[in-house]
Parts: sequence; structure tokens; C-alpha cells
Amino acid sequence: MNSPCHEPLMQSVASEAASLMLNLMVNGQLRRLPLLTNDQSLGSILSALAVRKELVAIALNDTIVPRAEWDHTLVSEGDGLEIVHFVGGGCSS
Amino acid sequence: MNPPLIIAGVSFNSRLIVGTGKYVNGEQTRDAVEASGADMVTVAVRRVKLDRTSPSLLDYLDINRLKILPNTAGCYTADEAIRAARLAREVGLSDWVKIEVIGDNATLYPDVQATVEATRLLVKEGFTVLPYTSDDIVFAKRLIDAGAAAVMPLGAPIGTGLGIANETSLRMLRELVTEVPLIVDAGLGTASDAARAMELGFDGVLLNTAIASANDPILMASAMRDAVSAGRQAFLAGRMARRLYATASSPMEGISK
Repeated sequence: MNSPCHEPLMQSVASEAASLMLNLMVNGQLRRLPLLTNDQSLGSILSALAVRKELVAIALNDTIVPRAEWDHTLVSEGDGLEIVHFVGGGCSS
Repeated sequence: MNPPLIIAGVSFNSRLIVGTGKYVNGEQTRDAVEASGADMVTVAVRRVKLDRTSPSLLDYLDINRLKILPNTAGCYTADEAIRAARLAREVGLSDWVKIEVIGDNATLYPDVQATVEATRLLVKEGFTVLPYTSDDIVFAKRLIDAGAAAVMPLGAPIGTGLGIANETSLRMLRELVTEVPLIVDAGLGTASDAARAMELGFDGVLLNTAIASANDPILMASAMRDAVSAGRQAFLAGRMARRLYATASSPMEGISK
């Protein structure tokens, strides 16, 4: 599940206050999101991050999650999330 | 009669494919794409910026009319390119991909071996793959064996605007590759370069910087549209034979003295 590189992150949330937050690595940055009581699905996380869902693709811990599975894929403490979209591009720049 | 460009069974009226990078904003991208007359545009796959809500490139592109060709620009291994292609497909607009695996930083020359590997695997996964490659006939054949839907050799290093620097190699490619469309991708600098590629018999041209880095990108986009069309027509018309000595084009008969 969590790769070894996430372990320091897990330890950093050991305190009482931090337990109300969900710590994720999103596009290489640490993001602390309020822990929702009954929905920790990928879909709800995308909403919390205000991402335009119709234009993105998602990898959770290096595995691509198809759009149809976003709402029933659970996100856990310390998970790594990659959210990509299309930007202007021709060849390598 | 100028038949359309057909790639993997899809017909394109324009033989110009344009990149969407390096423009100053979305409006300029939109206007340049429109002026170019292109039916297919390349895009890159990158991380969403979370800190600000900026408009999306797709807000400026007519995705109902344009074929979106995601690229794997910035990838240095087959695995990276494969991952980028899979992510691009998940966005949900296209299962076409321009495979580009860079092998050298100074020249941005493709790692053709890795390109072949990525092409073979992605074709098996159902992608329509258009690989960016060198002008090497051996690798062009391997890409076709791997299932590439087109072969896209460079005319000069990416972004240099040198124009066709390898005309002899490209002419050989043109003669020897007949199975799939051949598209000159990268290195062109101005309209005459695009016309030249088409006059050599290439099926299409893919360019980005030549338009985006022009002083007036919209006007250059229009020039490229005309150049590709003119070059194609000249190729179809068949140029006259070159002669060393002059031949008068006015009749010698009936000169008044």
C-alpha cells in the first residue's frame, strides 16, 4: 500500500490535532485536507481540491484510476496522488 | 484532386498538424490553431497546478472538431512515455498518442530504440501511435512493424527552425516508406520549409515553434496553412525537369523585325 517513502509523513501526523486531517502528497506537494467523516473517496478528494474533474486523469500511488472508479476508490493517509491534464505542447521543451 | 490525409482510417482535410506550446495565452493559441486550418493539434500531459484556478487549454480548443493528439514530450524512457500515454488516454478525449522519447539533451534527438518499445506496447494496448523519430530508415521500418499509424521523422532538431537539414535522408524515407503516412515533425522554421517538405512528397507536416515564435504567430499560422497546401499541390502536379541551359518560353517563330 504505502511505499517506504511515505513513512516520515505517517509519523508526522501522530499528534492528536493532526488526526483530523488527511495528509496526501498531491503532485509532489504535501496537502492537508480536512478528514471527512464518511467519504474519503478519490472523487471527494478531487472536489476538496477544486479540480475540474472532466479534464483530468489520476494516478493513485502510481496506479492509474479510471474515471468510473473515482467515487469508490478510497484514499488513505499518506497516499500519493498525481493529477494531470492537457497543457500546450508540441515537442519537448 | 487532392485526397485527404488518412491516418489509421481517420480522414483529415488539412495536412498540417500544429502544436499548442509556447503561445502567450489561450486566446493566441486558439487564434493560431484556427488560422493554421489544422484538424489535429498536439498537447502535452502535465500536472494540474493546484494553487490557482487558471483556465484550461481545452477551454480554447474546439474539441468537437479537432483531433487531440497528446504527446509524451519530456519523457526520457519508454516506461515514462508509456505512463504518459496511459494518463493521456484516461483524460478521455483520445486514444491517439504522439510518442516521443528523448535520448539526448543538446539535440533532443529521439531515443529510437525506446520509441520502438513504447510504440509496440501501446499499440497492443489499443492506442493509435504516431511516433516522433529520426530520419533512419531502419527504425522507420521497425516502427511500422511495431504497429505505428504514421512515422514522423524530424527535419532538424526540435525548436531550431533550421528547416530541412537532412533532405537526402528524408527523400530516401519518402521513397522507401509506403505503408503508413510520413509526416515531417520538428525543425521547420518558415513557410518555405513546410512547402519543401510537402514538395518532397511527405503526407503532412507537424510544427509548433515556427508559428508560436514568429513575430506574428497568427499570420505565420496562415502562411503555414497556405504553404502546406501549395507544397502538396506542387507535389501532385509534378515539377518540371531541371535543365542546365536556358530554354525560351516564348515562341521563336514570328518575331517581328
